[in-house]
Amino acid sequence: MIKFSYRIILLIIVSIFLISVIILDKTEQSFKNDYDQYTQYNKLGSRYISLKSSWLYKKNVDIQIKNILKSCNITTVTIKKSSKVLRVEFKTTLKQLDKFINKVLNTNFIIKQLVIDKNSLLLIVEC
Amino acid sequence: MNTIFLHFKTPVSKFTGKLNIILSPQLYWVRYFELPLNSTKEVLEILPNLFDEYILENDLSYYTVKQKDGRFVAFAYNKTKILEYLKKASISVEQISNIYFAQIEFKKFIEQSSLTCIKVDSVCLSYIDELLVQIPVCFDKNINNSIDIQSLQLSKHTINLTNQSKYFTKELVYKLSLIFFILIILNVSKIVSLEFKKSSLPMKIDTIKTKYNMPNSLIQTKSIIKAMDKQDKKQRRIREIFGYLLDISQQIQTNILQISVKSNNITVSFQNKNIVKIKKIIQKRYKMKNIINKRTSITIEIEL
Repeated sequence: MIKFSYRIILLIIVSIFLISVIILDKTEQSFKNDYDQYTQYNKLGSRYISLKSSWLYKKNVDIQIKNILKSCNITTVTIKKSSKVLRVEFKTTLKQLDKFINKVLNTNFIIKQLVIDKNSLLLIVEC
Repeated sequence: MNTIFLHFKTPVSKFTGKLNIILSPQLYWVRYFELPLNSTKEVLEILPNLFDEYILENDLSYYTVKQKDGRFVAFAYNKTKILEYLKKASISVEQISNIYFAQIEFKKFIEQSSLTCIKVDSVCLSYIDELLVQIPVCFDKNINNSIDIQSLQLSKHTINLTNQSKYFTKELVYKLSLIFFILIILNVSKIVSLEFKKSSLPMKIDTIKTKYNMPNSLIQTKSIIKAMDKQDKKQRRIREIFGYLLDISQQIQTNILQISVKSNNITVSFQNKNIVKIKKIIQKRYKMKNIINKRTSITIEIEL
């Protein structure tokens, strides 16, 4: 009877061990999933911030455009601002046009439309 | 390891460690059989029937050994009876290492000596018709025929009184239990640690969301980033194509008449100077969607 009982003890302990292994496996799996989500958020967060900082979203678009126009000495300009875009239209010399285009392309505007003629320009950027 | 000869009058054991037990002929029945069988396993199956006519007792266990001459020496024994005498001799089952039959163990001793009878633990034994039997007195009282069973080289023929394996001892069970218990503790501590780490993750995710001003759900974030990625590629491509087209105009010394970016296309009109060359250069890098050749200009549509 005593022998039987210590065998039972071993059986119980082995059963508890197996249960603990199963629980551990499930916990590890669940932790892995949560951790993957965390790392994904971390990666997406840095990507999100890098993309946001790469292009001018909303802020400062009109100020930047005005600054460029001023630096290129372009004065007769039609600027129309809607909720989503900023429309810039003007006629000027080829030299000034060239300077303006260079500056626009080197600034991080989101260009929606750009039509350049010999002496006129139409630029629509996101704002 | 000490050896004890177990018989009806075995004195109370003074040994505490593991013991080998040699059963006296009083504690088993033995017979020789000539059988047309090869394996002891087959013989064991028919032994109850073979002993049936000699022994009236029930609940017997059997053991057999094949002899060199092809015969089988068969034993019948009553486990309860042996356990009873072990108890009388104050020997616990845990103390028993192996149990042997005197029939097998003393045979070698008799064969190697000139003795006809031996004295073990004040019990006189002799082989009569190959069977070891207990005899009332030793025939030759003057011969010193007491044998020291401690020095006997025991055979491999042993029996087990319990269903339990002799290797699966109480100590081993306790050791195994301890090992498993330690493993359980390790597993539980790992589970607790993982759960603790896991519980801090939602807070960390919230911190990231706040830090980067991200949308609430992962799907939303992914969708926004996908759109932003597309935008990023498009804007970079606009600037790249623009730069390339301006380079071309300088390279082949032709004027760009008009250049426009609309939806997913860039349309460029060159002064009609070197149409073939312009086409060839642009074709090298970009896919041309449409080419309109006019008398004074060439208009090329490039996909963004």
